[in-house]
Amino acid sequence: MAVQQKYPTKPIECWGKLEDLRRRLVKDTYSARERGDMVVLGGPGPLPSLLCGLGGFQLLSPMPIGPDMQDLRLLTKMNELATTQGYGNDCCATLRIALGSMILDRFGMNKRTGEVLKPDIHFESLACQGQMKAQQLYQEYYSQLPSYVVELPWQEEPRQADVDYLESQLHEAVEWLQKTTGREYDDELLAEGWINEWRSRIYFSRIMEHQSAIPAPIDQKTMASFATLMWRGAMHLPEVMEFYKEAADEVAVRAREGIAALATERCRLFHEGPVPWYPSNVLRYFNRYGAVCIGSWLYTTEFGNFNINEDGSWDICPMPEGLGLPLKTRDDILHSMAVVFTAYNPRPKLSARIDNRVAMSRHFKLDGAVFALDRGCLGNTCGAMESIVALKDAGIPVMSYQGACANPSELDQGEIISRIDAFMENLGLEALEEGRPLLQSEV
Amino acid sequence: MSAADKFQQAVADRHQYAQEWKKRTGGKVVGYLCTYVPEEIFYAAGMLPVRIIGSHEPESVTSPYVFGMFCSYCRDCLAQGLQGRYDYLDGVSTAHCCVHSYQTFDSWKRHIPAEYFYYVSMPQLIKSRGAQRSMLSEIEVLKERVETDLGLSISSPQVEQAMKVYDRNRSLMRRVYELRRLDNPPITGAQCMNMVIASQIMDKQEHSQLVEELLKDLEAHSPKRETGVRLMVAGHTDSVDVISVIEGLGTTVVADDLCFGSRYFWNTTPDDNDLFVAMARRYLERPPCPMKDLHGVRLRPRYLLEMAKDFGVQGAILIRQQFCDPHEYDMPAVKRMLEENGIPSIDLEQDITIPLGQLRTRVEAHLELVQQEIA
Ligand code: SF4
Ligand code: SF4
Repeated sequence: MAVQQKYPTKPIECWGKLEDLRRRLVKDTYSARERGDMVVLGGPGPLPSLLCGLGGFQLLSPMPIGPDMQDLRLLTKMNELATTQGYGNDCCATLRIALGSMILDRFGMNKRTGEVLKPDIHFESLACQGQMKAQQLYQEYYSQLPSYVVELPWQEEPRQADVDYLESQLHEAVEWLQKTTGREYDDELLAEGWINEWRSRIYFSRIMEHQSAIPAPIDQKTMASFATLMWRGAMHLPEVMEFYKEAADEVAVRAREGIAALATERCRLFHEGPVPWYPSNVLRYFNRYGAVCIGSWLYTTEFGNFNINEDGSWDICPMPEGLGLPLKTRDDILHSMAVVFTAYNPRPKLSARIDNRVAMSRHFKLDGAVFALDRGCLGNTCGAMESIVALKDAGIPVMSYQGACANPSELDQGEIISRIDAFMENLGLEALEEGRPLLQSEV
Repeated sequence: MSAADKFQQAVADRHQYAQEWKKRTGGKVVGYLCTYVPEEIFYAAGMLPVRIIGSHEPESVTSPYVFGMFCSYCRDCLAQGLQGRYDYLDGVSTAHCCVHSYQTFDSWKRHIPAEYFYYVSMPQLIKSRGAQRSMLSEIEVLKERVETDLGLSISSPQVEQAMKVYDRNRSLMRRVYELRRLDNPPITGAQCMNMVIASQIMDKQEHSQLVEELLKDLEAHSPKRETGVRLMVAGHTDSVDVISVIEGLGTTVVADDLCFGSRYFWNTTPDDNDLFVAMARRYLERPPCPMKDLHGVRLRPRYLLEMAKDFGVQGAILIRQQFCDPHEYDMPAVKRMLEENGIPSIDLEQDITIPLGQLRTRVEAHLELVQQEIA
């Protein structure tokens, strides 16, 4: 079959740096005790920088990242174990995997040495109800692990009360961290970590913004790889912030020079809903049709700070020096955190989710949208059906499929492939090349 | 007709009641989903707040808007709205609880017209230092929104009066619940649930009068039925039929932790010089639902154990709506706590339609266990 190459492509140059950072983060985590670093269970949510004031710490993420995610049989077993404990498949996918892994005594295991790292405390900032309830289970599992959760308020309308509520929680959190760990809290380290985190999130927002270019400079799969540093809660580190700066610059150049993620791009899609966390080709299966998944509302709101205007254009949160807030004292820093996460965080707003998606479909020149209706992630499935209705009303074709981001046994390859094939056919696209199976290893 | 029968009828004829109330008073009716909505504000504005509840009939109207794995109670409620059964509502409100109710509220707002919609962004971490201020501000905004959107005015004396009316109703219902501690309780769990649901849909003063009548009835007559096994029901159900089936098997439900039961009215407003602060505290301090029990170690298992001991409970039925993850997260810990203290417990899941035969079989099997434990 002749494949028509429309656009130039080239490999992502910062890829090597990403791989190095990923390796280093794993190494640093498992050597935490050697350096006297504290081990904190938590991390995928925002504001890990709150921990910076304590000095050395490493995060053990309850997000299922790492080698266990490659083993589809093991994943299935972890899910089954969670079910036997009374946490059915409508419970949060993260919780189920973390719990299954804890029961198997693999949670926090250094896969190279077999050593299991136990956390000293649990600390997170969350908006999702699944994760918020999950923390109680982690506490129970690690018999009374000291635990603290900051609630990122769900707001339908922006209100000063939400800024105040978050700010007051942040002060309480810092006091709790000091009291629980017995460590001194250094406000300079807090400031440094927060400014890095802030910048990292703005660079990530810029990466996404460049995706409005035709052809899209990177695809969603690459963006997901970039996001792994965020999943690890490492955005407060200067080298991670530098990486995101470099990545954003590279993506900007690619956008300007017309370097494509997919040489045959002729159809642009958003893939909404959690993409399977285990190795899968769902995002790139579309490529055989010249279709490319370029991002999602979900992904960008998870890792970026911005607002979406009615026309879909982006109002990215200014960098620390641009917002006009003082950043000298602890009060200043915590106040700025509360402002950034209430004024520039569309995530905990259900109505916005739906209207934003319609606006973004125009801004990112989408030809269609794909929704993964996830049985293990109600937090992210909330608003999905309404978004589908709204997008269709706006003339954007939509397909959906069901699955569970962390349970490969719930992904019906045959069905999803035939749904994608039919969707592409409806969009008038013929396959340009052979497809690959969706799962990269056997269940 | 006895007061207990009147409650049952009010629940059955709830739409008719609200429509007649509207005609009779010329007032406005607001529907709400979650019992964390500070209803006193609506009452102070001369409105009738009514809790939206399902009908337990099969439906197919919600599937375009809500993913099938959202809780059956929420889908059932939305179905009622989409089918026009709540067309008399002038407004709809809910408070931040779980994504399921958030979804229902949002879909309602999108597809079912009303003059007024308000989502109360209630904090989840109710014990955090800033929670009271946040709740207070929500109550103030709610008041403003009722005034501006519905053109009603709310004065401080009206708020104070509404709070008194609500607290009186709460205290009266609490007195009824206290009678369930007796060796031979004069009231069944199903009758109690009808009373509480009626309170969520009737004018509070009218309801309080009926509760007073009920208390008199209960004092005057000794119970005609055997108590049998003393059970507690905890979790979430809006179905009185479920309780009736359980009680038809030689049991009495003597305690509950449901938002269609004790959680709704258990605490009255604490004393405070500031009316709104007092109101905020009442909502923050009420027995928490799983989505408000998030601060560190769970409170609910111990709370439920204490309740079970207080009411001489011999077995527990933990019931939840299909796909209700908030209750699912708590159930293993609650079950463990109760069982470690000699109270056998069973988990039941309820869909929109309730196959009562299946329910009966499961409860029967559980009762055998409870009997063994008692023997
Ligand atoms: S977003 Fe989904 S997977 Fe993540 S915590 Fe919430 S429910 Fe769980
Ligand atoms: S707490 Fe459970 S039953 Fe109640 S609305 Fe939420 S999901 Fe439904």
